Amino acid sequence: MKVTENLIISLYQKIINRAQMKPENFVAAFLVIFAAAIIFAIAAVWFVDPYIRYHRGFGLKEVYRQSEAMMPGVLRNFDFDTVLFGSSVCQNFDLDEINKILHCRSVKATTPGLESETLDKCLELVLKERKGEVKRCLIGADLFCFSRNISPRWKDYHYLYTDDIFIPEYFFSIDSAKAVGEVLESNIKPDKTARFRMMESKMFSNKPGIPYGKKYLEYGVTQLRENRSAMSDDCLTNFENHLYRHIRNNPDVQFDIFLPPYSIYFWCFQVELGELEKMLEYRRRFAEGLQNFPNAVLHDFNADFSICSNLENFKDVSHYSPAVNTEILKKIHSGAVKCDFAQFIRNNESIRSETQKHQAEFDRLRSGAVQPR
Amino acid sequence: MLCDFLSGVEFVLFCSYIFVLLFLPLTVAGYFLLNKIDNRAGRCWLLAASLYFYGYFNTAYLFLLLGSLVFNYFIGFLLYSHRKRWLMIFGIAVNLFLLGYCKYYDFFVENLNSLFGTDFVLKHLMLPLGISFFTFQQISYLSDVFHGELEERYSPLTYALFVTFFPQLVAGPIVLANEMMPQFAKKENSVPNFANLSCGIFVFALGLAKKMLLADNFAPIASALFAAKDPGFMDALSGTFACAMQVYFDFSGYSDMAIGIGLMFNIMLPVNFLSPYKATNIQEFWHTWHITLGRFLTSFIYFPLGGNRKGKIRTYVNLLITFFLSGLWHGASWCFVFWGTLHGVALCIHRIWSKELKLKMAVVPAFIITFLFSWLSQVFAWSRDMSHAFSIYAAFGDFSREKFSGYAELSSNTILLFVVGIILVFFFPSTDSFRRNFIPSKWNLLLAFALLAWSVLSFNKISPFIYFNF
Repeated sequence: MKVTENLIISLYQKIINRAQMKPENFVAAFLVIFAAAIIFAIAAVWFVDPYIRYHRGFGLKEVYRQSEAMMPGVLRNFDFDTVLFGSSVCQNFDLDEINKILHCRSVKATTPGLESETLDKCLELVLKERKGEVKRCLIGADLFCFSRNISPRWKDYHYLYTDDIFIPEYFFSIDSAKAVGEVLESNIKPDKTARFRMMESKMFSNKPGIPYGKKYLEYGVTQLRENRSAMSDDCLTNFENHLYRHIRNNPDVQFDIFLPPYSIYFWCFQVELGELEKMLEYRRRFAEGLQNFPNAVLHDFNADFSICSNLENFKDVSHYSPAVNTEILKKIHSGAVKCDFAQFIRNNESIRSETQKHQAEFDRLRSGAVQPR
Repeated sequence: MLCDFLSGVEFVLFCSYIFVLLFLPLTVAGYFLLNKIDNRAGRCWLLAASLYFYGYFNTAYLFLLLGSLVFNYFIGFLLYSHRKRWLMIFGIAVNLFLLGYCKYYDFFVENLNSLFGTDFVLKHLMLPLGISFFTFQQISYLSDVFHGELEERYSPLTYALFVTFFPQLVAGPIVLANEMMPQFAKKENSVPNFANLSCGIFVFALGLAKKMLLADNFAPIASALFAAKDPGFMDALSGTFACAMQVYFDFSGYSDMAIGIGLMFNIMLPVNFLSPYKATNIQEFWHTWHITLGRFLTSFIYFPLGGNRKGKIRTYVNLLITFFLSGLWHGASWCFVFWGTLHGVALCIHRIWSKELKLKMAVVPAFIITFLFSWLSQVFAWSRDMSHAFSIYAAFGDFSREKFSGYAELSSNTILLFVVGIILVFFFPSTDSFRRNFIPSKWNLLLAFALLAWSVLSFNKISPFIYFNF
């Protein structure tokens, strides 16, 4: 080891210590280079603004990178009067379709695994910074999002959710440097159209080509392992802190809360886990909390069996095809599955009975007695 | 557990934007600019900056630091004129009481409750940052004054700077009054020395890179093991090795940064870390790992107990006591105590081997044994409790799980990280060697800039220094 140490030191003396400078020149040059690098980093990130923190691109098209990083930027800088919030089950809505059916100008704030803390941050941001502009919030309330067990998505990019003007984490990070590079590269060589589209009408959507249908759903059933996240009474606190308070504090904004359509096998799985009654009870508590808000409308697609029991609509127990999005929008617009609290309780009963009808087939799939085709 | 303090505290770190981009440049610039007007103004500026640095963590503990400072200076002042042993002992006792109360109260009460079935309430005191360091420094000051090793009386300002100088305030090195105070008082040090500034920038960049690019990349691998419920052999191997690397680069990086910053102010801090994993025996290890702590414990524990002057048995007892206390200093838990005592036992064995039996071992096996011991004994320092530590050791014997259990899967980047770590740890010279051979040059400039820039771009994920909370 001494041999290698001495060798390295002598190499260091020969190579690195060449081109000697006066110490004061070293210090001066260092300060100049460092200051120039700081200014360059700030200028590059601010001008390109890959996460749309300050503005939409100056002649540059936005490129999709990370939805949880880009949501606050979209909510600050895009032009809209309607926002769709949701998790992966809401990712594939098309903005042009939303605008056409609901007669609005919309954006999405959807990210896989959206949990209620991030939802809260986004709601806070948009309702404060776009007060008066935002008229309607569509919220795909995936109930698991309100569980405490999911780690908050926003924390990875916490600095983009603040009001701070100067954000060192944004200006001086490897992630931002990569993001700037990707935006510039994509704009110079605009053949990567998918990533542009994911910031236009297909905002935050999955890449196309994902297959849906009964055989994929059945395969998904055989692979089920555990619940996405255990529901507990903590979620009741999250209902209030991360949703109800925004509805209460913004009486001029309409909140269309829709419980997205899970496949009927989702409920069969809850029976297998012994969690069905617990889930139905949390549904009930969720609806109970909403009933007194005049500006909140609840649409219960969990009990829309024209979608849920049609197994061709799904790729797994909870993710439905884009075609279902159109149906959801039309039904939100027409109020076809809009329900008050009394109807909601009846819907719980419907879920029980519909689940019972499909339980045997589900159990056969799970036991391997029936193989997915 | 070594990582227990990782939760919940925001503070100004050397590796933070605010420190590198704002605090450090302003403090250095302000110091030298104000020194042009008046020497004292510059030093006041440095003192204010150091107190601000400390107070940024928690304002309440700033008052504790100031109180400790005033008390010790006053005792020292009295000791200059009345060299009374009882006065020195009183001063040391108050310092130790403060340290003991803040750091060991809950540990003491927990053990009392479990031994005697009592139900005393724990206070869950938040440990004031760096209390061990500034307490030990001031104890050494009182001792030096009493023993006449610090004949010159320094001003309160110089004393305050000695205690609070921010590069070493929260995580060492443990500096001695007679090595620091003359440097603060020296007029030549109040003007910018560009040779020192350039070297300081270079050494700081090296230290920051070690912390951000190496230690912080080993951290997730290490943490994954200690959070795992059922690790296998490969998890234990990679996880414990990653721990050893993380501690090494964290501590080495911090020490380099402290020295680099000190140099910028023309202050030479003592070297605290000299490639300890290259040691060929445990004694050499402790002469190169946390050198100033070893120096302090030798002077204030080992020698007062009699050192090696009271017979063989007493020598071994003294060694065990010293390292028992070293373990206790590192953390208020039986795991740390056990780890420290284990090192004491190893030192006794080394002494018997080399001095009593007068045996010698070839360099390679000696190095392997020493490194294996220092590596594997660290498991106690990282574990939640003794049973957790033993479960990690048991995982080494779990060959039935020859593949990773999923907690520490080695990607190609991770393997590269391990390779780079091994090369730097075992084959590269210490940063001190580079410092001594440093000459300002174009390539050193580019290297310093590249390391600093890459490190700053990695600041996004902040993690504290391991020795921050001792």
